[in-house]
Amino acid sequence: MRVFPACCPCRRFEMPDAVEFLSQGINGVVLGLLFSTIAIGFTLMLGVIGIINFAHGILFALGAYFALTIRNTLGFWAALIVSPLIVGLIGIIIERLAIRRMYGKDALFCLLLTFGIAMSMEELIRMIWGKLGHSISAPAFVSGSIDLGFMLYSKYRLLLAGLSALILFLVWLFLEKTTYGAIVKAGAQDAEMVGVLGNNISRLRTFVFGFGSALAGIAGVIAAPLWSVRPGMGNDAIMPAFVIVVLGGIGSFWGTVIGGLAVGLSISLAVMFLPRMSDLVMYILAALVLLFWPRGIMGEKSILEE
Amino acid sequence: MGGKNSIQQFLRLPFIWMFLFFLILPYLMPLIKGYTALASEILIYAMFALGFNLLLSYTGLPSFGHAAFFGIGAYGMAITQLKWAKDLWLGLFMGMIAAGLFAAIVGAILCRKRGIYFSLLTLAFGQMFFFIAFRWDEVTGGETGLTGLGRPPLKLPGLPAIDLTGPMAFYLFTLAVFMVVMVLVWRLVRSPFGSVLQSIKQNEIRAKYLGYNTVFYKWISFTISGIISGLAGAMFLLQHGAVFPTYLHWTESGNVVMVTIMGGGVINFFGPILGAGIFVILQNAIGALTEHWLFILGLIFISIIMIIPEGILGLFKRAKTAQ
Amino acid sequence: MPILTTQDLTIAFGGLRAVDQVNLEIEKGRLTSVIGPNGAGKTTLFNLLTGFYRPTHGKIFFDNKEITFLPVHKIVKLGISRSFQILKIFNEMTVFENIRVAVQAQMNHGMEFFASCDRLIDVRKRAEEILEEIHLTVKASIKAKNLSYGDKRILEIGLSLAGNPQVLLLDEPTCGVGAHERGRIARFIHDLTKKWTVLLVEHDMDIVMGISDRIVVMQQGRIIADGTPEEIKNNETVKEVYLGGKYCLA
Repeated sequence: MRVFPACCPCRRFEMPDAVEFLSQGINGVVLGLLFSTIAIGFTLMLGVIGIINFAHGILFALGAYFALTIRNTLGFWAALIVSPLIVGLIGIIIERLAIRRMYGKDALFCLLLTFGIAMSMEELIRMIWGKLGHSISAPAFVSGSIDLGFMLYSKYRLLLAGLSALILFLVWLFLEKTTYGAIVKAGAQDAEMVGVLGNNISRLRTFVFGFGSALAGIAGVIAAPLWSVRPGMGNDAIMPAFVIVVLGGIGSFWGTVIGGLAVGLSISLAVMFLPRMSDLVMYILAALVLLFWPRGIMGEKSILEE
Repeated sequence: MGGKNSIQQFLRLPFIWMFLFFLILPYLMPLIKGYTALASEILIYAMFALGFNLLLSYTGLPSFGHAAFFGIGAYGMAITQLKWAKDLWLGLFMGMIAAGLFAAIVGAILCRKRGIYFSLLTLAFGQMFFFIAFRWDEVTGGETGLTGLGRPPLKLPGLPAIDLTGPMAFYLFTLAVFMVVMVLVWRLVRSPFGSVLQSIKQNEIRAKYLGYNTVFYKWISFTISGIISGLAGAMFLLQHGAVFPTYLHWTESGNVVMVTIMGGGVINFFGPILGAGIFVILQNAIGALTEHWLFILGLIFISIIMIIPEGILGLFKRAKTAQ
Repeated sequence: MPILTTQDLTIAFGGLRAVDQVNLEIEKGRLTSVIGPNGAGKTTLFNLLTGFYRPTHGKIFFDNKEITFLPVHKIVKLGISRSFQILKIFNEMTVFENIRVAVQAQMNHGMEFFASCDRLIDVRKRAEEILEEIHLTVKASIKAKNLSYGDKRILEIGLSLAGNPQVLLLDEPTCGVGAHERGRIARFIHDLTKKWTVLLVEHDMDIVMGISDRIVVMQQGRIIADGTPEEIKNNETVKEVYLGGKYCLA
C-alpha cells in the first residue's frame, strides 16, 4: 500500500473485496439509468428548442414533491402516473406563457428566463412544503433487501433500475416507432429543417417542453426514496444532466444513455476508490471525453454552435 | 487649447458625477433601509459585473461559471492572510493572480469552443471549482469555509497605515478601487483591443478574415475578466471576513449574468453597475420583509427579461428613441 | 507568373468529394472568374484556399510558399483576402469603424490595450483612404446595418481590401443586388485588377464575360474547362453542363 501525502484526496485508499465491488458496480448502473432518465428530457429540449433549461432541476423536484403528497392519499403507483402528468402540464404552461415569447431573441434571454423560473419555483417549494427535507420510504412491496445468494441488495434500487430502463425504453419506442416521435427525433438534431419540412414548429416545441418536463417529473418520483425530498434536490439533477448532454451529444438518445451510465459508473467507482473526488469525477470524465469527441460521443454538428 | 478640450471631454463622461454620487451614497443608504457596508457591497458586486460584462457584451461569450473566479479571488485573499502574511496589497494581488491563472487555464481549453458548448463547459468548470472548494478541507476549510478574517490596514508609501475596520474607511477604499477598475475597463473597451473584441462578437469569421487570431483574443478577454472577478472576490472577503464554497456555486454565476443584463449591460457600459445596485438593494429590502425574498427576486428577474430584455437602461433608450 | 497555385487539391466530406483534384494556377494581376452550377465546389474552393477548410489531399502554394495547413488569420496576413456571398460585415459599427478595425489588423495594432482608437492617426488616415477608394466616404458615420444593400456589398469588398492583400477572392459579390446597382459593382471590381489579383465567383454571365481575363469552369468539384471568355463561350462541354445564367439566392 502506497503512502499518499496528507492533502491527496486518494489517501484513504483500501482495496474493496469482490462483493463490495459488485455491489457498487450495480449501484453505478442503477445510478446511471436514473441519470439517463433525468437527462433525456433535458437533451430533447436542448436539441429541439435550443434552450438550456435551468428549470429542469426544479421540474424534477416538483415531481418528487407531488409524489410525496399523492402517495399519502393514493399510493405509489398513482403517484408514478399522476405526478409526471401534473409536472408535464406545468411545463406546458411555462412554455406557453413565458418561454414562447423569447423564441426570436438571443438564446441567452431564454436561458436566463429559465434561471429566474428555477429561482422562484425553488423558493415556492419552500413556501408550500417547508424548507426541511422529507425522507420518503420505498413502497412496502420493495422495502428491504433481496438475497441474491452471494450478497444482499436493496430491492428498491432494483425497482428503480427497472423503472428507469422501462421509461427509457418507452421514450425510445416513441422516438423510433411513432411518426410524431420521428419528428421530435429529427428536430433534436436539426430543428430548422423540421420547420422547413412543414411541421408545426410551435406545437412541436410546446409538446417537447411538456414531454421533457414530464420526464423530469417522473425521474423525480422514482428518485425520491433514494435521495430524499429536499427543496434543493433539483441541483443534484441538473448538473449531471448538463454533463451527460455534453458527454453524450446534444439531442442524442443513445448518447444520453451511454453518457448516463458512464457518469453513474464513474461516480460509484470513485465512491469506492477516491471518495473525496466522487463529485468531481463526472466533470473530469466530461473533459476527457470532449478532448477526443468535441461534440460528445454521439453528437453531431448543430446550428447551436453558431 | 487642447488641455481645455480634454477637460471638457472628461467632464462629459459620467465618471466625475458617478464619483460624487458614490461619495454621498453612504449617507443615502439609511433612506432605503441600508447601511454603509451595503454600499461597499454594491461597489464590489458592480466590479464583478463590469468584469463579467467585458466577456458577455463586448466579446459575446456568455459564461455561466464566473462565480468560480470570484470565489477563487476570495479564497486567494483568505489563504494569503492565513498562511502567508496579513498584508492588504499582497492578499489582493494573490487573489487576482489565482483567479487570473485559473481563468487562463480554463480559457485556453474553452475559447476554441463554439456557441452552446462554450456556455455548457463554463458551467461544468464552475461546478468543478465549487466541488474542489467544498471537498478540499485542508486548504479551503471545506463546507464551513474560512472565517474570522480581519481587514489588514492600508499601507501607502509615505503615509501612516490606515485602519480599514470601520465601514466608512473601507467604503472609501472600495470606492477608490472601483473607480480605478471602472476607468481601466472603460479605456480597455475603447482601445484597439476593445474594437477587436467587438468585431469578434459581431462577426467572428470576418474578424478572422481580417487577420485576427480570434481564439487568442477571446482567451485574453476571458483571462482579464477572470482577474477582475477575482479582485472583486478578494474585496468581498475583506468586506465579510469569510469565504464559503457557495460563493462559487452556479447559482451565483447565474446571478451575475442576471444582474448584468437586468441593468442594461448588453447595451450600455454602465448597465452592470446599475444592475448591481438594484440587486443588492432589492435583496436587502425584500429580505427585510420576507424570508422568501428569492421568490420575489425571481419574479422580478422574469418580468424584466420578458418585458425589457435590454435591461433597465434599455428602457431609457426606448423612451429616447420614441421621442 | 502564377501567384497562387494548387496541386491536386481535394476535400472529401464523407463520401462526397466537394473539390476533386483541382490543379489551378492563378496569374498575378489578372481577373480570373470561377463559374459553374450550384454545388460545383466554388465556395468550397475558396474555403480551402483561405484555410477555412483543411484539404484531404493536395497542396496550396502562395508566392511559392506552401500554405496548405495554415489557419485563416495567418493566410490573410500573408496576403490572401476574401469577401463572402452572405454578407459578413460588422452591423453595429459605422462604415468607418468597420474599415478601421480592418486596417488595425493589417497594421498590427490589435493588441493595444489602453490607447484610444481615435488616437491612432496612421490607422485613421489609411481607413479614410480606403473609404475614398470604395466611394463610401460620404456614408462613413452610418451604421453598417442601415446601408442600402448595394452599399453593404461594397463595404463587404472594402473590408477585404483593407488588409492590403495581393490576391482578392470575391464570392458572388453581386449576389442579390438589383440590376441598377450591378453595373456599378461590376465596374468597381474591374477597376480592382489595376492593383490586385482577383479571383471571382459569379453567376451573372454578363459580368463574367464582360470583365474576366480568364474563366475557369467547375462541375462536381472538378475543373472542366479553362480559357478566355471567347473560348469558354464556344466550348461545347460548358454549354451542355451550364445552361445559361442562374441567379443566386440573396
